[in-house]
Amino acid sequence: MTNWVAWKRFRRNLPRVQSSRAMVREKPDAPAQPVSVPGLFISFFRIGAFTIGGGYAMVPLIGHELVEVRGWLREDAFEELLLVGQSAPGPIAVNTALLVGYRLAGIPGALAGVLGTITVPFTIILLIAAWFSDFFHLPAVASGLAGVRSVVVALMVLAAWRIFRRNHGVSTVIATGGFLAVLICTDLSPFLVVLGALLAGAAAGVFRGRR
Amino acid sequence: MNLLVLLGQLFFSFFSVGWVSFGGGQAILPIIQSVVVTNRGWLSTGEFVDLIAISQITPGPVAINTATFVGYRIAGVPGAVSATVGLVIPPVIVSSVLCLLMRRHRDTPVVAGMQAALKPALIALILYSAMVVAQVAFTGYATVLVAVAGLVVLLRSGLHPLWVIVASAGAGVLLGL
Repeated sequence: MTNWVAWKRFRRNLPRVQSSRAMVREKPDAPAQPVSVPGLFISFFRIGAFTIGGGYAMVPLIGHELVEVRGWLREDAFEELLLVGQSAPGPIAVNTALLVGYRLAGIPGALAGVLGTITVPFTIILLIAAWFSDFFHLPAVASGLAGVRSVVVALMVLAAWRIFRRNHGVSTVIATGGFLAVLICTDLSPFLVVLGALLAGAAAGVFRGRR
Repeated sequence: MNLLVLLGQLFFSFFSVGWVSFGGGQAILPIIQSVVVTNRGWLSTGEFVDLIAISQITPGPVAINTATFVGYRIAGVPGAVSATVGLVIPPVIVSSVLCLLMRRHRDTPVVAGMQAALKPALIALILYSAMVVAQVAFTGYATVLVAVAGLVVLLRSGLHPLWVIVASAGAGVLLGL
């Protein structure tokens, strides 16, 4: 009996030991490829062209490309830039591209990152917008779009859930309920709600800092 | 002349959105909606919801896609460029400044307080936006069913959202939504 328990424990631990060993990087920090502005553009062009689902879907791919494939950034350096990119307003993918590009190659790098990220999405949306009215009134397309529309509701709830999961707690629920009530019951613009949240947070921070 | 005025309006509308578009993607949509649908009347709510659906199926950041689309509808390619550039400039400025400041001020109580307060505001904004989309999207029991099934699959399995979107389009055609 004890033998069997010990064996189960051994089995359970085996992959964990292996994975923690695999996490020690074999080639730690040496840049695998030289940084170049065209290379930056190509990297972000690829990420922008092939990632569907917006910012949160793009971030892991950006990390993979820069840290694992190109070896341009260390994991912790990327996470620091990502934190700044998420704290600033704007699309997370664009902010991250800007910061990474600037860190690696100055202002030309930043431009290459931003332009690379938005070139393909910009072009595709232009084409869709140009033919929108012709194409989207076909019955089959309209039905398909109706299905996508309802799943968009699910995607939005999922996005809200993801943020909540990272900071769950009674205070988050109460504050969310408060903001939601303000949005539903008053005509207050979302602008003011965001600014109000920032001010309230800063005030709470000052108050807490004083104590 | 008229075109120039329109381009200016597009630029400054998205420029103003850019400053407060915290949280990326989904959280920006209600702010864009308040400007584009409520204030300017450039798109109807139905068109805006269709646009969100399209942005989900095409590659790239959702907010950029939305700006490009609205800009094109209002003033052609120059409109698309001015709306997109307008949306991108404020984040570029803010993240550059933040990058310089963050390292020194990351742990101050004011920054921590602002970050903590933004989270529930973003959740509320996204849920509010979901309610607006739901009012247009939910035209019967079948559409609600598709949304609930999609949510369950997204939460329970690690399936990429793209496949859920493709499946929902298929369901829409099959059910004749």
